[in-house]
Amino acid sequence: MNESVHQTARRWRDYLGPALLALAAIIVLAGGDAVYMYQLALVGIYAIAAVGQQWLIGRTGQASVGGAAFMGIGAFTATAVAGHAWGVFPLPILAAAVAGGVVGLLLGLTTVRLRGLYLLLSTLALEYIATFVMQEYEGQNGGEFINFPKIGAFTFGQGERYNLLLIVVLLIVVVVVQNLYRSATGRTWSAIRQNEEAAEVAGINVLGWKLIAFVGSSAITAVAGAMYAYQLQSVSYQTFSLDLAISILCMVYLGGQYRISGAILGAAVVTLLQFGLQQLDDTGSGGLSSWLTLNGPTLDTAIYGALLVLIMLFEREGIAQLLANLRDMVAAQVTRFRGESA
Amino acid sequence: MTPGATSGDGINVSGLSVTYRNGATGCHDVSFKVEPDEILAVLGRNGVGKTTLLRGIAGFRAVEGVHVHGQVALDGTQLSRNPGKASKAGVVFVPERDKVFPSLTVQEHFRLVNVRGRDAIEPFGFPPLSNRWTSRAGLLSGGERQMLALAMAWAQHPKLLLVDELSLGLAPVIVGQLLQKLREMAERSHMSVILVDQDAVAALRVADSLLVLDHGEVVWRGASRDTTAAELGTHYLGTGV
Repeated sequence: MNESVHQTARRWRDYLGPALLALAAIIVLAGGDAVYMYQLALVGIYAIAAVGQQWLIGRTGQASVGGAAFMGIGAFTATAVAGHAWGVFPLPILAAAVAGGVVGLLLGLTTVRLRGLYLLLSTLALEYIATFVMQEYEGQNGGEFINFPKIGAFTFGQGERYNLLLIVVLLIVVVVVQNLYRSATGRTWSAIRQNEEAAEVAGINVLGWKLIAFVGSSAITAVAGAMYAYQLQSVSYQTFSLDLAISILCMVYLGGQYRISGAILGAAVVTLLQFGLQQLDDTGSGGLSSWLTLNGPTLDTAIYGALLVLIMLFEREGIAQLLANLRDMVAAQVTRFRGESA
Repeated sequence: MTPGATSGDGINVSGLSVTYRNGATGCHDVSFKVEPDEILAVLGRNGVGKTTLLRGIAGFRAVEGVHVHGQVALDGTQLSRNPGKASKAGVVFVPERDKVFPSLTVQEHFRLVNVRGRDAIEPFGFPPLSNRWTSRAGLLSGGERQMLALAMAWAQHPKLLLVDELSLGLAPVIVGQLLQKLREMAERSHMSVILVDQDAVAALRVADSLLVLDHGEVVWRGASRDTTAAELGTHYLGTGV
């Protein structure tokens, strides 16, 4: 690709982020029925979780299925803090981030020397331990409830208002993580992902930087859990199951494990795919309808699996890279057309 | 010692043994000294423990759960068996393969070791790197990757540079340039260099002293001026080169 195509592609990339964000704001503010707004809220919540997990999995190269556990930790912590008179917004969110970060640190300290499958199994163990603890907590304290967040007299209630808050939180997370990635620390994590030993010999404190990624990633994922708790207005250990953990992993890989935009795209695709299949269940007729109703949940998993296989075979960097390829192709055509016109 | 050498005792290895978990010996009771400015080439057939020796000195074997015994002192101070701490003490290891990060550019590699501008690498004398400043390392040739790894190593101001198989898979003319650069680097920064290689001719060209390993033990040690490639071949291959 020549320099002018590069420049065109780069210029488009610069406009793409703000354009997508403006589009998201318009979609949210335009309103819609409750089901539609709920699905958009889920996209926002999962996008925050996926960006958190992308830091650990995609940027630092540490395999993990701990996403649901950290969301659960965040959700239960936020609910517990919000139950106190002093637990006003945004304190529950901050407490969730701290709790997630502390558990992330403990997980990191115990698994920091593990790699690949062994690390993945350790995070699976965390999922089971977290489920057990949440179940026990729920058993002793009964159902936990939480009201929509309020600032003064303004309540971020169900629908547009809450989704607007989700956009703000997602934006803060993306800006923080993006700035980290663009700095020297981003290169350090990238080096660790590509070759831990070479990073070590380049004088990088590999264990230290991996721990920071564990803490930061877990804190962000816990914030997603806290936002989920606010959305549902109650929490249950059953929400943060292994199925959810695998869904988050799918979001990161399908969207594109190396890019923040990939994590957000992955969250949108996986969430809306589930929603689309549910709609088919409801609107289908005759034999197809009953078959979909019966097999809907299995079909979701089968479609994730098929999509993952396709992505691994044809574009390991996910949907985000497919779009980037498309952008470059269009940029090349535009540049050629301009050259011919001139 | 090359004229111009300054303070420091260099590296002193005494009775170093590395044993694997299954009881196999990586290297046994290896002792030698390398002065500042000096290049020691470690020669031997495949699997005789050359890389194990380097990794044992750099601390990697201890981290991997392999038993390491013996003393390794750099400038009179005992070296840690943790690669990170050894690195802080001035030990830099250039591994045999996977020594660069494919998705990072040449510039980003230097930023990892706190080298900012292109001008800063001019003293390293690697013009091809300067020309490939914004290229991703995954797109560099084998020789350019070796240059990048060596330049990054030198940028860390090592007291001891450990280089594993510098000549592996490279054209003789590139190997010659790299060895020349290694010689200049050793003399300019007064560091000790341990170079593992299988190419006796290349080793003779650059090294001050040579050490031949067989079955993890030192079978020959001497100055490079006192031997020939043919003699070296008989030491470790049992036949002339």
